[in-house]
Amino acid sequence: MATLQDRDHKVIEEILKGNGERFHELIARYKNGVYSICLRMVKDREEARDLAQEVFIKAYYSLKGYNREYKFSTWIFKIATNLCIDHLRKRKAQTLSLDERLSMPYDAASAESVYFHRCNRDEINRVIDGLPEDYRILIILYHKEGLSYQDICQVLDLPMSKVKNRLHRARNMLKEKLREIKEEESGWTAKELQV
Amino acid sequence: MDCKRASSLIMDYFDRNMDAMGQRDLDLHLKQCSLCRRDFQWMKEAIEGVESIQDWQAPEDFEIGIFKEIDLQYYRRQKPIYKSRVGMWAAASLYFAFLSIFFYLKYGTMHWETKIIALMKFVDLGNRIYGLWGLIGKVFGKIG
Repeated sequence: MATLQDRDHKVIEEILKGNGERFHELIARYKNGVYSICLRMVKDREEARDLAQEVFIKAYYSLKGYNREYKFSTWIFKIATNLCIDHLRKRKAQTLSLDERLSMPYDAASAESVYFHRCNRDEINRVIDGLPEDYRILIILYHKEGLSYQDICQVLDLPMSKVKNRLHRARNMLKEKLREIKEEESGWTAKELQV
Repeated sequence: MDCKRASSLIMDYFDRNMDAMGQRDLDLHLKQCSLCRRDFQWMKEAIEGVESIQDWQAPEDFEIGIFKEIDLQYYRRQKPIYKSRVGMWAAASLYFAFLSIFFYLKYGTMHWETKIIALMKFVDLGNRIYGLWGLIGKVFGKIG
């Protein structure tokens, strides 16, 4: 049975022969993953959409240079990561203001959420967004997208030791961030319940 | 086992790279050390949370935006690289082959003295062409 990698390579061969329409298969397969990475890195839906589209456009015109030794997913995530990092450097992303936070998809504050325990998904998203970008990308690539250490080394052009150390530090930050948020919320909820 | 070693084993656990002995040692330590146990639980919750969240869905018009920007005929118009390179090398090889045959037929059968005279004449001709080129350059330079 053909692996995902084999199927991707077959589609790429077809595109290079002149069947450009086949590119939509690769877009369909990876658009959510690429969009998610971009959104988690730049924290803005419009910018994330533009960046993610740019990733695919760049990938399309670079298909001749694609090395089949590597998985297509690794390659396209590398393009996505590099574009996001370049974009953030240009924009010098700061921590979000309260107004911007309210516009994020998971953070529709309402009166009810004051009294009820917030969905764990929201907490996790806040925790991830709170990480510095260098550590955030590692958590996303390893634990969310399921890339191996080897793949991550290729995506980020970093040696294995650096990737491992940073990921370990990222996990510790993630843990501390979650603990802070949960303790903050439990204190907040307790206070509201007293009222 | 100390907490530093336990911390390292916890990382192996989340790397899914733990052997049976490491697992046993970690379980034993976590039963005994409430600090490490608490840290482990927090990290487990955080990482399992990350692993369980779904990807954000790309917007509905996402693909349309891409297809507006790319040229679907781009690779159809490209010559395969290997064909153009083979053609180029074949042409260059033929050229040098003909050139070599020409020079051999013209000069290869000559006496060695005649060869030297011919070579000197060729070098002299080269010098004259070089001088002429310099002169043309000066003239155009003045006009410019």
